[in-house]
Amino acid sequence: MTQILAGFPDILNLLTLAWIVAGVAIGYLVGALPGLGKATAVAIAIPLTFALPALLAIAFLIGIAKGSAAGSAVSAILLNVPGEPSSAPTALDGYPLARQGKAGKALKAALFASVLGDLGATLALVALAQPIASYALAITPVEICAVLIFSLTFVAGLSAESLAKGLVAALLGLLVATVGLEIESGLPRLTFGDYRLFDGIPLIPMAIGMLAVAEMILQAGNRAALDQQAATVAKGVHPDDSRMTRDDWRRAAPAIVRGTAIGIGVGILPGLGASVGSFLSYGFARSRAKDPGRFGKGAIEGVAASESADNAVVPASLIPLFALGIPGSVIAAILIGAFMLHGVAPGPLMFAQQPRLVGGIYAAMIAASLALLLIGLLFQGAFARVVRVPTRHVVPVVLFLCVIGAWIEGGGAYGVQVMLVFSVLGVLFVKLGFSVVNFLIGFVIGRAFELSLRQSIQILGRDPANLVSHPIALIFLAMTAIAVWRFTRGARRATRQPEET
Amino acid sequence: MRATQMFVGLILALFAAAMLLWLIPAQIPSGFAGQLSPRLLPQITMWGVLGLGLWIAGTAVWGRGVPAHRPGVFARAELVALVVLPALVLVALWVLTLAGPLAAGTLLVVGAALMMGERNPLALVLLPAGALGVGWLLLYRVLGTTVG
Repeated sequence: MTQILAGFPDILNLLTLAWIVAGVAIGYLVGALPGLGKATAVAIAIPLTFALPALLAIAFLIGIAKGSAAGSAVSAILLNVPGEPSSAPTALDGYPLARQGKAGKALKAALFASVLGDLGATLALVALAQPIASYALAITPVEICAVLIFSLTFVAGLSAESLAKGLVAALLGLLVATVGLEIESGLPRLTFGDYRLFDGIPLIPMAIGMLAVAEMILQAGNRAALDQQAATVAKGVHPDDSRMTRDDWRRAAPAIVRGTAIGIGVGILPGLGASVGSFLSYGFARSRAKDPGRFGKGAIEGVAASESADNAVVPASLIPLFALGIPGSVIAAILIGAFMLHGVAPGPLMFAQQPRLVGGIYAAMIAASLALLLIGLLFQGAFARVVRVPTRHVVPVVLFLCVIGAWIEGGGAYGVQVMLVFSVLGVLFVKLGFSVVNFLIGFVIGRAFELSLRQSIQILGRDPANLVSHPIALIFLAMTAIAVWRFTRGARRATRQPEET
Repeated sequence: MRATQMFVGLILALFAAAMLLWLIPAQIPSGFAGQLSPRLLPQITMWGVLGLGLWIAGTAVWGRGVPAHRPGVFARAELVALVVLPALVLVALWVLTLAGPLAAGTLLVVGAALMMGERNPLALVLLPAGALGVGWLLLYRVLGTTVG
């Protein structure tokens, strides 16, 4: 607390506040563009901060990360195109709400859930960063491996047409993550002699291809029907359609609280990331609902659950970064580069050596949460107008922005080629009922999963019986078995019902 | 529907079998003595895909586990878009090397708009102007980077 109090005077000046607001605004704008998520936004903004002092630079980049995490809900709700994978569950209920003429309500629910989730997780970061270090040190690779297996299985059951297809998608994602030089031996894997593959397949062009370009291709193939839907979206005229009513708050508030807690928990555990958090939160909200049948058809608590967890993961993933120097997410990994660029080494020593900077970062993060609320409330009306734009205008512009994003993140034409290959794969996945999101999660956690698997095998001495000495891992493996059983049983019921009727 | 599912399951199983028997041994060295093989995770994933592919095909054959939501086969317009949009991007990449980002960006936006059925001349001028303007502002002014 003393750190944060010492930090506020450092950020309460016009210049620093302007950079924070600019970061959040740019992040919100970029996040709202399909396929351009927080990792892209932060990565391409790092060169902008070369000339800035450390606090300004880090506050600006964290503002971008927070803004884009919240902004990604806009395209998910209005276009059914998640700005990034973690917003995919937001689209499940946000887009149906938009089609019912309640885009304004869905956007406000997403904004409030984002701000509250983000603020809650920032306060958790302030409170827990130092104490959590001692607990995090007790988590061994065996537990991490078990948690990752559970997460993949759980998300597979939720996000795909069937558990089997969800698992296939995750396994293919893990396979693609192995392309490149192997971690331990440095030997090339599945590179076919192409040196560009030695560093692995770049994440951002792949994600842009599978999510955004694939969606544009599908929209191009269904443009007549989609333009009709867009016309329907614009017809909501009742005042309650564009604001959060008391009843909406009653439904959304518990989902936001739970989502924030889930987001913090997922963010702290390295490797899981915002997608796991938002899907877990969405699934949990659905399982706790009195009428789960509303989910997928426009449940406001679905949007709130997903967005609160998604945004809570960003600050929470900085907890292991600040406490141990370990990045808990892609965004934390990118931020390490920015920290090092400005002469700051994230880790336990940072608290002792640069307490004033840590306090300033904490204060800037809280200011960014408030800026997020302000910018969201002021500019949501402008974003909501996107629904009136016909598909024949949206597709060319989004395709153009996708190409630019892939070009920047993939190192030129190679990035665009990667984007195209995975856009075709993404279309096939969607049409055949496989989960693009699960594929991407498998890919993102692939390296961490392989490392923890290898270390686990060595720690356990190649004898599964030694798992007895890892009760937390056993609990997660048991939960995996239960999830498989539940999802398989659920699928059988879903199959039987139409046949009976 | 069942035929599609069976076909998809078999394709997955065949892909996994080809990976296990041919591609992984050919493309991944077996590693050094005393270390876990670099082939470990790729082989685990492919054994998983092989089993699940056969499971998907099997459930389709026996009519169980085929979900209520049935993905449609490709519509003709979707197939056209699947070929034309990626082809358009590739042509734009080629034009980029010949004529620079302005021509490539214009070709990409106008080509996609025409493919989407836009015929209004004003829209065909304003769309690329707006998109390229935003791109220029974002890349060249705000981010200070370049394309091309």
